[in-house]
Amino acid sequence: MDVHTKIDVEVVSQLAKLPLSEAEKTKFSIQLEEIMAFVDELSLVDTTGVNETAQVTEKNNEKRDDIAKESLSVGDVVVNAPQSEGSFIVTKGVFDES
Amino acid sequence: MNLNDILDGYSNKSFSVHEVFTTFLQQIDKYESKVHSFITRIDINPKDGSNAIPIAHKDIYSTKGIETTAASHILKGYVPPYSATSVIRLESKGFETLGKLNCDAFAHGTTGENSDIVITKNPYDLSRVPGGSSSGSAAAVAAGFVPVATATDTGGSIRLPSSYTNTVGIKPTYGRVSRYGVIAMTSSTDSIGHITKTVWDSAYVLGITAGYDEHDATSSRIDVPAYTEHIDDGVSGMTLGLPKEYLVNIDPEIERVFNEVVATYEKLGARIVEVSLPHTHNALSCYYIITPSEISSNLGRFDGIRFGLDRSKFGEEAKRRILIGTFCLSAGYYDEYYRKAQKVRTLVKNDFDNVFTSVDAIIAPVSPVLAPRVGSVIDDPLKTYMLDVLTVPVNLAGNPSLSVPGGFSHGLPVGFQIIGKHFDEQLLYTIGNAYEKETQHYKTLPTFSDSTTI
Amino acid sequence: MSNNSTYELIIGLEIHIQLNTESKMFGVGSNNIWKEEPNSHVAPVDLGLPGTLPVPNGKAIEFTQRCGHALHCNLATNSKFDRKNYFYPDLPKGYQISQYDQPFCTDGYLDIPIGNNETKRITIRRIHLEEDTGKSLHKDGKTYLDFNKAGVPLMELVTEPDFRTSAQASDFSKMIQVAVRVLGISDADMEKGNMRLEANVSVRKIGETTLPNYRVELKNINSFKFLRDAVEFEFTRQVDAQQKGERLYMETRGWDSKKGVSVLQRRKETESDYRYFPEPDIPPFVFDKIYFDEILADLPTMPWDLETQLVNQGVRSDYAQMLAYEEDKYRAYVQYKDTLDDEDLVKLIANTKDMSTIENEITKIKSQKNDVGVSADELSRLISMVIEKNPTVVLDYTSGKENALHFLVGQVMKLSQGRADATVVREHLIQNLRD
Repeated sequence: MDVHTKIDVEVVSQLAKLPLSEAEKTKFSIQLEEIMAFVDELSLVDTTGVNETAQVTEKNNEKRDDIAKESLSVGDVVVNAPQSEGSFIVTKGVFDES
Repeated sequence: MNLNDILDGYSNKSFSVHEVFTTFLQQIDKYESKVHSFITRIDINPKDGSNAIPIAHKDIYSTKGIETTAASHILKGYVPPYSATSVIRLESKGFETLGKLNCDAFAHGTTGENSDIVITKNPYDLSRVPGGSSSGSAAAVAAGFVPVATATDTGGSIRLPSSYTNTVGIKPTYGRVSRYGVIAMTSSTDSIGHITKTVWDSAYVLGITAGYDEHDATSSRIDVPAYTEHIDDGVSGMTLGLPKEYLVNIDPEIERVFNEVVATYEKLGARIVEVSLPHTHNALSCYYIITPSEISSNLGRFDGIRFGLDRSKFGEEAKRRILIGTFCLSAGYYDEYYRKAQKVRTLVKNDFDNVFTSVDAIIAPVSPVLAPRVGSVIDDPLKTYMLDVLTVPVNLAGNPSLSVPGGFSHGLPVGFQIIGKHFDEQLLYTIGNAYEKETQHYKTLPTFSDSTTI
Repeated sequence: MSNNSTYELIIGLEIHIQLNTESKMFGVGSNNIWKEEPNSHVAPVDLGLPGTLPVPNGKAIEFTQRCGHALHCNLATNSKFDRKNYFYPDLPKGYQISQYDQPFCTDGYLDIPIGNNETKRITIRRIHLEEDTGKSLHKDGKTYLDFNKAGVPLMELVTEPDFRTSAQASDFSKMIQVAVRVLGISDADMEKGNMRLEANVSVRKIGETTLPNYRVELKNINSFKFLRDAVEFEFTRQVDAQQKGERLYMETRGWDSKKGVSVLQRRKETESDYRYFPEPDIPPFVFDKIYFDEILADLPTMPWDLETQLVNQGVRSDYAQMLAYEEDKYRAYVQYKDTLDDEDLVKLIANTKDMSTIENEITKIKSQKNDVGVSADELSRLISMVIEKNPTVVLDYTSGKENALHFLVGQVMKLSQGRADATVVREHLIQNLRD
């Protein structure tokens, strides 16, 4: 593969909700290009007929019985939140639905 | 003193729990300001007459009521309302924590220099890194601050620092020890382990942490053997494989020490054969696609709403991995990168499965180079990733590996690894212990000097 | 007023059903969250705390598969969960554990009545299982988050765009509601939010056969009436736009029931990039025949099947529909079957408003019947006759098919011209067949 992948840092950082400064965007652009050039060598490996390994455990069918156990106390749920009001965790307004 | 000494001492009533804790705390007082292994210290007062044993946890292990930062600015002040399963199991056997140990932030790193908090130094040469990501864990055990420290190995993060610090590090089989409560990095390779001074100590601790956990669907239901039981059996009659791909492009000093290791095993009665793991050189690329991909997803929960600070507070390496990972999973690139890497992963795993049909275990170097000097590789991300070239294949395949002190190069520790079949940790301990009994490298204590003679 | 008659509606439905398991989908906290204090039913994994891991609720999976089977789906032998990555404050992990390419159920259908004794087959593309998100309340420029709902098991049913009228979509949804209630897997109460409807609506000129290249996703539909209103509104709006030559986009619109309009929420030029990948924390599933035989045993009769059964028995179609689709009547019929001659029971239930009075009514009717009842000898004779004449049915019963008994009771009742007491007949039959 002659053409190395160039990651559009602007697009990807938006997708990843990662705020970057202009300086960071420039620096990462270069670094990521080097890294991708390195990993691009994988495209040369012949994987015809090879299945993906998503799990090395070789386990199947892990489930649990439907028994309710303890939840956290309300206090423990909100304790680490930078902003909370009563039992609610609060964040600045989000108006655009997912 | 190591764990075995402490347990013996308690059982013979040779010393009290206060004497044990005082010994370690005094060592910390003396050398911690040079080593910088701790992020959080706990004021500990063990109960009179208890057989408590000091321990410290890598700061990605959730400890209820104790600040857990993952060595990152983004988690400053985060106090988990629950503890990791490993922590609970160790507590139930009397291990009490002296504090939380430094590491690369979110375990992203190979030298320890990616910590947002401080850079831990190698007790054998303070101008060098102890290795990462479990930098604090390895340094603390090497320095005699604790007899055991918990750690994790996702791409080499236990074995690499152990090999740089003359300590024993176990990367158990993936799924052998519960991941519940340990801040996830690469969900499909994170291996929960620990670092000790000796092989027996490591085996003892694994017997406590290993075993199925209902909170972790990937944890294995396979029985846990008594890891210390056959530890003195020796290696006579065993076949050990040397993967030829692991012996190229390594520092001559690493090669020299490793040859001594091989010669020793031959002397002890093992048969050494050359084997091949042909996809070794693909494993690093494969790992550095899969790892950032899963990291980018695992770090999605850090949005500064329920805990932690906002996403701009991630460190540089975390940001790099999030960007690469998001890209590799994104529409149009998923097949070419993530899926492709998962296929190459199958080939890497098959390599090991094939080799294990003809050998009992594999021995190999851990690092291609001696412990780098602080600042010498960190500015080049790719260079730091390269340090993992001999450790990541094992993580991709899920096999267990034990890093054991191999020898020294002008005072700098050089470790080697013993790789086994899935769930064959007991055999690794037997093989490792044979070498340790013969060489007793753990007796060579760190000098805390400013540099070695290299 | 636009000329709607040259256009037709194309509607597909996405129905989300919260399952009423005891614990949540991936965490062990209690699933009974209705009207509970905010953030009081949140386990560490539901909050997405670092280090937490999901463990799937086996019962939720069974519920989904039973539902899929009842809706004539193909039940996957190989299945898994996947991560759907996106950011929103009420999504704690920054991803939702859902199913992408290997859902538990695929390719089902439901035949809905469309008048004139005709039915229309609605294809169910898939039914999969996922976790619900938390709840966000927007007030005073701030967003208040309650994570009680986070992690509740959510079954998602997706149809092909087979509906052509808003009534069809609404009828289908009602049938699904009754079905899940009969299965006992959900309360499916739209006001409580345990059943949520989303419609994908587009229009095309009548005669065209290809699907339009856009669709409008309608959200915030809280009742069957709102579904019809919203779809009708969209039909008019979209036809209007097309006739004016305006382009129609892939977009999400929310239904404002007060104003009776749909409001643009988001325009999407392309599908969202959720970066789906297999969930590494949960091993995949392989289901075998033994598993399916076990979890699919004792499925209740589905309303549409009961309706068919009753009609075949000669029950009038309006009674049959009532008993099949009105939940309290359905339950009463199932509960009191065999206590009374079927014909009498159906008539009684159809004509009664309050099912709690049924038991008394049955007792009254039975005591009336006993005055002209059947002697023990005659009963014995009738029972022996029926057993002799129906050897295969008897074999069915003795090999475990409970329904076969019902048939035999019916036969005895018929021979006795309704004079016998069905409960007594049943008891005697059971005794006889045991010997």
